[in-house]
Amino acid sequence: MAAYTTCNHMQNTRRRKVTSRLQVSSAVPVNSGNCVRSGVLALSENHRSRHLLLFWTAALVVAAVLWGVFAYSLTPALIAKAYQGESLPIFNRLIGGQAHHPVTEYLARWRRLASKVSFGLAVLGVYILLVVVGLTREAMVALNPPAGKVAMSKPRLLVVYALGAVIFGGALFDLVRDTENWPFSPYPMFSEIPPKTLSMLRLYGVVQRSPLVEIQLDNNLYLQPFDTSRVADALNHARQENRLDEGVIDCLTRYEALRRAGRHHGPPLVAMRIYLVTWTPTPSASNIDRPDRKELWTEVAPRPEGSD
Amino acid sequence: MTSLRKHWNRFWFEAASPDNLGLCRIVLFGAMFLYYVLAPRLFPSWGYLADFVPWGSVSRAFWSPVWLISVLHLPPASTQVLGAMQIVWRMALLFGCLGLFTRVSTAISFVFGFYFFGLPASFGRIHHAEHVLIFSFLIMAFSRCGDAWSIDALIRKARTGAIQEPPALSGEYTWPVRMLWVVMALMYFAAGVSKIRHSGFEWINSDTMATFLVAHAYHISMADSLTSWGPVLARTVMIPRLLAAFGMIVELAMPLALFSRRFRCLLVPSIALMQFSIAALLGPNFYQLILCQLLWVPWDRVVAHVTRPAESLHRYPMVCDGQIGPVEALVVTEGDTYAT
Repeated sequence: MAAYTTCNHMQNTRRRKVTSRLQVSSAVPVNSGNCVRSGVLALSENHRSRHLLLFWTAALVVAAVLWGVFAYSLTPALIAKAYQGESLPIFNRLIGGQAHHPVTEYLARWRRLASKVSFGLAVLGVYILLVVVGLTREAMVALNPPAGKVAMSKPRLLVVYALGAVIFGGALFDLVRDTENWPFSPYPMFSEIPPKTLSMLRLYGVVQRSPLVEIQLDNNLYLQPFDTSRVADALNHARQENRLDEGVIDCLTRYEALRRAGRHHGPPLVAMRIYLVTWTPTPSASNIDRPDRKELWTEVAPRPEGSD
Repeated sequence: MTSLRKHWNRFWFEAASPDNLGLCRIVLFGAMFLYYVLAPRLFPSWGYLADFVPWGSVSRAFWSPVWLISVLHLPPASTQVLGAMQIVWRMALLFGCLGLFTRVSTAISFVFGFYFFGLPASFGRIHHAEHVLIFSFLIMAFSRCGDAWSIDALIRKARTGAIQEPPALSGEYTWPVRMLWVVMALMYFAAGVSKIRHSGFEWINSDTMATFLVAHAYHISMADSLTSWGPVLARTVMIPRLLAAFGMIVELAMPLALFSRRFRCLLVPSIALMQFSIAALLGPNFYQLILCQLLWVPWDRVVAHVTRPAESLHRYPMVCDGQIGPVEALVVTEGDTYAT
């Protein structure tokens, strides 16, 4: 009876599987004797799969508890002891800045690190569990549709593997090392917790000198192909190369050329300045024209006609 | 171990018809051709980013080549050279879409695209919208994506004269699409891992997203946001945190889309929504990436469904256990078909 039930179950499963995967009209003859045997096999496979699932779930729970005890109980206690020089010498030697840093600072640092690692481990745990569930479910269904035939020549396979090695090797290298070797990247945009103040290099156009009227060049159209984020980094680079003035003159020339071509509607400029500006952002950005700090780095005027 | 190898081979090299790969080629190259030709004309406020010619006139004081551009000693070309290259590149994208001289056009798309995408990145800051295109063009250049749905295939057919058999099912038509998927999934997963590495759970459970939403009102981004909702949402406590949680979960879960159709149906639209929300609330736009999400769609099935609706509606799978007699009737109940 059990075998009969399993057989029916298998046929239903097979029917569902065929429906979803193949979507073709087909009659699949199944020998009833085979069905009984495969039903018994499937039952034992079910038991094994359930055990495997239970084992991995238990292992993950135990690992999580152990990590929790280690990260949030043992280590903070160890740090406090080592700070006071009461732990093992090897740990005592790790902390040598008692004169400058309170123990709370060390503990806060550890908590931050532990929080990141916990989060990462949680993601890893979810993935392990999903993989186990996926594998065991497939084993429970006891349906292994034949794997697709590898109908490719060996040299061709080598080319594909080489291509994959280059692409994924580079990507994983940067992911693990947290380095950016373009075109590979760990994609770190927006990943840092931003500071409470916003600081950046910003170009200002001097419209007239007396009285001084200057406008913030924060419209992306003013300096295209640069946008405001890229031009700030580019100016920083030019400064490191001691070519900041050359860079700002290029920006001024570009601004005027684009203005004359009608590509933007900014006013004509008599000079261009670069400031390091700092804001405390407000939701309405009402202080955008009144930064907390504004430090002039350089100013350039247009080159006289024919100076080139 | 055998099972793992089976899974591996099934994932990468399961025999498939060339249709899906050919259609993915049309979608990828067609979408990118339209994007890079139309964006500068239709969206002047940010479309200039899709025009690479002006980089030829930028001062060398700003030149700081990114890694591979530096390794290959590629210099910034002049405006004239870039203009000519851009015309060739756009033609290559168009030819890639049509499947004309497919091998050559996809190779040119990759080589020139690599240079064009590396050029702005070498002038100060790396934007990450185009990384996926470099790898996509590279994969397509190595694939046999011109075997179907291409002018090349039509020409081949015309040359042979007689009715030609369609290309045989092969793993050749599976691995490129799967590799594109893995590239995209890995990219988002890496972005999620970066957030864990640099900020941990604090990235969600703090004012991080609220600060980003407010800061972008100070015009610090490659493009202004499509809406002014960001600072408004930042005033609430929960919404920015929910947005952050949504973004991080979707990014970290993206590899699941590789293995499960259900996850694909959930995660791919979610990631496109996330990208669009970034453009709407923060500013940086990743429209190329949003378009690349179309490569997750099984286009061969879509086309089959669209072109043969009546036929597919009346085809049912049927299973028998070898003991029943000849089929007399088919009974269709909700989702299942029984033979009587």
